[in-house]
Formats: sequence, C-alpha cells, structure tokens
Amino acid sequence: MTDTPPDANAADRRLLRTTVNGIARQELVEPRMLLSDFLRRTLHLTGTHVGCAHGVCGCCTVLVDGATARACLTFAVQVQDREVQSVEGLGEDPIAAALRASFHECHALQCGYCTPGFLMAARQLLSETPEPDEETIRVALSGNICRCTGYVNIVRAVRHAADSLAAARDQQQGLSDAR
Amino acid sequence: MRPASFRHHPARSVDEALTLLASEDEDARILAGGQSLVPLMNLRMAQPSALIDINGCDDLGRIDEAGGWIEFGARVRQREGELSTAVRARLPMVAAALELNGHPATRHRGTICGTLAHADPSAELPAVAVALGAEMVLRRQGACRIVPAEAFFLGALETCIEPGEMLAAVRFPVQPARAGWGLAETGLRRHDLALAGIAVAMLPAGVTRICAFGITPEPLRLPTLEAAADDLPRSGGTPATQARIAEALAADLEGADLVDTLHASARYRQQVTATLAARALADARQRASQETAT
Ligand SMILES: Cc1cc2nc3c(=O)[nH]c(=O)nc-3n(C[C@@H](O)[C@H](O)[C@H](O)COP(=O)(O)OP(=O)(O)OC[C@H]3O[C@@H](n4cnc5c(N)ncnc54)[C@H](O)[C@@H]3O)c2cc1C
Ligand code: FES
Ligand code: FES
Repeated sequence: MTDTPPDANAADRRLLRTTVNGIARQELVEPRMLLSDFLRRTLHLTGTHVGCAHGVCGCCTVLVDGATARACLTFAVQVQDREVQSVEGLGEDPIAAALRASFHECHALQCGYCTPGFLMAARQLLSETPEPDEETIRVALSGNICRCTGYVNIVRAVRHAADSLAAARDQQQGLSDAR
Repeated sequence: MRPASFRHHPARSVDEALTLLASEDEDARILAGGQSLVPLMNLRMAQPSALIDINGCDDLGRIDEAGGWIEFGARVRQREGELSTAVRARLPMVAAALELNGHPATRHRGTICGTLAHADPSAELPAVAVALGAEMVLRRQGACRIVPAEAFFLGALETCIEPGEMLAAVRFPVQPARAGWGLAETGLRRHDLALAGIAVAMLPAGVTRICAFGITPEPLRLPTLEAAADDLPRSGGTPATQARIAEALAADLEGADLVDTLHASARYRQQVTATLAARALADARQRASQETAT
C-alpha cells in the first residue's frame, strides 16, 4: 500500500468522459483517483492547488456543474458527463476578471497558494449576492484558509470587485437609459 | 494522502443501490456527498472495499411535503435544503442548522442524510433532528423500517444502520405556527464543526425539547432543563436565570460521558453549553412570541 498517485496501468480503470473548462475529455482513470489529481496530473491544469487533501483549506475549490466543490473530496469518476471549471477556465468571466483586478489592486495575495480557491469561492458569492457586506463575505470565505495575508485584504478585494461590478452595471444602465 | 483502491458502483436508483448493498461485503459503504467519507479515505482511516455511489439516484433527490412532514431523500444536498422555501418557512431550525453545516463548497455536495448517517458528535443536524422529533427511513432490499431520531444515534460515528441497510430518507414534522426555536453553537472557526452547541424546539402546547451536541458522543436530550425551561423568567439573561440553567444542565450531565479534548476540556464544554442554552432559550422564546403577534 503506497501513497503514490493512481497508476495508469492499474487493473480497474474506467473510461471517464467529462468536460473541463469547455473542452471534452476522455481518459482512463482508476476509481480512487481524486478530481484534484485528475486535473493536476492527467490534464496538467496545475492552477487547482492541494493544501490539505482532506477538505479543510479550500485551495482545491473548483466548479462542478456551476457550483463550488472540493476537488480533493471528489473522485474523478464522479464528474462523468458533468462540467468542471477550474481557475484556468474562468478566463473572460466578468466577475472573475473584476476579482483578479481587485486582488491585484488590494494586495490580496502574498505567496498565492490559496488564491485559486479564494477566487472560486468569491466568484460563487458575487454571482449569488452581487453586493455583499463584510460579514457575508467573511462567512462565504470561511472555508478557505490563507496562511499569509490575515484575510483583511482578501475581504477588501472582494468588496472592491463588487463595487466595480456595480459601477459597471450602473454605467450600462445609464447608457441604455440614454438611448 | 490518497485513498486505497475500492470497487466503485454508480447506482441510478434507490432499488439499484439496495441491490448493490445486498451483493457487496460488510465493508462496503454508501458514497453520498463524500465530505466526511473521502477525508477519512484520503487519510487511510477508512478503507471501504466498495462504494455504492448514490449521486446518480435521481429518485433520492427530492424534498417532499405531505401529511405534516417534510421528507428529504438521501441525495438531497445540504445547500438544496437550506435554500428551499418550504424548509425556510416550515422548518426554520433545519435551514439554520444546514447553513452552519460547513462551507458553501462542502454544502453543495454534502447531503442531509449523510450528516445524520455519519453521526459526528459535533454535527448540528443530529441534535436538531432529535429536538424536532424527526424520523429516519431505513431501507434494505425488500424491507423498510422507521426509527425515531432519538433511537437512531448510538454513539460517536455510530448509528443503528445495519449492514445492507441505508438511510433512504429523513422526515421532519412541519413546525406549527407559534413554535419557537433556538440554535446556538461555538467552534474554532465559523461554520465548521462545533465544540459545543444546543438546539431548542418550543412547541405552542408548552412542550420544550432541548438537545445538546458536541459535548457527548451522541446528541443528548436534556430533560431537567426542558422541565425548567417553562418557568424560567421571561426576561432572559439575568444572573439568576443563568444559575438555574447551569444547575439544570449539571443535573442532566451527571454521569454523562463528556467529550474532553485538546481543543476544549469537558469543564469548558459544560460551562459554555450553559451560556449557549441561555442564548438559545431566549431566541426560542422571542421567536415564539413573534409568531403569536403575526
Ligand atoms: C471543511 C469541512 C467542514 C465541515 N463542517 C461541518 C459542520 O460544521 N457541521 C457538520 O455537521 N458537518 C460538517 N462537515 C461534514 C459535512 O459536510 C458532511 O457533509 C457530512 O458529515 C456527511 O455528509 P455526506 O453527504 O458528505 O456523506 P459522506 O461523506 O458521503 O458519508 C459519510 C458516512 O455516512 C455514510 N452514509 C452517507 N449517506 C448514507 C446513507 N444515505 N445511508 C447510509 N449511510 C450513509 C457513508 O457511508 C459514510 O460512512 C464538514 C466537512 C468539511 C470538509
Ligand atoms: S486541498 Fe482540498 S480542501 Fe484542502
Ligand atoms: S497568499 Fe499565501 S496562503 Fe494565502
């Protein structure tokens, strides 16, 4: 019994068909392969980090069918026929873009290890609650651990992103009213 | 930090899951949300021979309301329960407990039945189920039995589910208008497992049911405190009230197997439970009187 990642030559393998960041994928996987390993080792999408591998730190947060989930607590075979989005797939998403700019501006990361998970969790929050107060932000991010920042700047960055998205919405509203 | 090998059986329906359970050995487990089982597997503290994965069982994914009960199938996610308007309106304490049950990302996958079947001493929902008088629907191939929540929890991570059986659903009696409730807990980080907590259900007929969690291996009813609750002064947190609550709690905890860990001693757990009880009772009273006013 070793702690090596699931072996591609192992006996019981399944054909996994899934969509990751909009791209259809087909791979042979062992049932015990975690989604975090599938993303990082099979697909080389290393933006999904693994901090604890038992659900506590939130570094590995991805979207499964649009809802945040721990990649370290999901088996790859469980995303059969589902859509997975990792931090690499946020691309042009406007909420993610606002968050990236705000994290930069507010200095919301130092080593950056936790950042992909925070971006996923914060994006989920702002897509459901566009104008959260500080308490709401803190509760929504309570499942993500950051060992560097002390959280103050992360909370500020999320608030800043919410404000800039609101300003953009107002401007758009203004334009369409003027038309 | 990777799980040992296991046989993975994706089930498409409850009947298929029960057939698979019957055909597998005793070390087979149900895989629901995986939010407690997979950490244990990653740490190799659990090495099930097979997992019967119920995530594809659409027939277990329903929240049904009928005959004064709201029933949650085994695949209903914690987040689905917490956001359901029926649950928020008629089982507000269940919605509140689900909100405290981990973080959004764990609640998107973790199930309502999973937290009951796992029976972590620090979990909120088992205590809420006992306080509200919920019933467990246990099924095996060709048989079904109903077990009241109070008889279901046997100890830390221990329930009366037998090999070959699964928790197919849980049902809660819809709370009458004018029912009050209070749920208070404390822990190391918000929305994580509690060090101590208490659930109070106050029915209009003057019946109060109180259940503590996090302080004993299984959720613990507090009959002395329940009996005292009715004639506690309405004013709430005075030192006299606080002393009476602590006294009743001490009577209920006499001889109990209190949890004593590095994070919180047994003495601390008992003291903080008295404070939490005062808070939860005050909340329950206030909600009961608000309900009367409307
Ligand atoms: C970071 C983090 C924080 C958390 N915080 C809390 C918290 O504050 N409060 C809390 O209560 N929980 C908390 N949890 C645990 C909670 O999220 C789990 O969802 C819950 O304990 C188990 O539900 P599940 O559906 O994920 O079950 P699984 O992990 O899939 O299963 C757990 C166990 O129950 C068995 N099982 C599951 N469903 C059934 C069934 N229908 N019939 C028979 N057996 C079954 C499984 O075989 C397994 O042994 C936390 C978890 C994490 C990762
Ligand atoms: S790596 Fe998944 S939660 Fe820490
Ligand atoms: S920036 Fe280093 S852990 Fe968060």
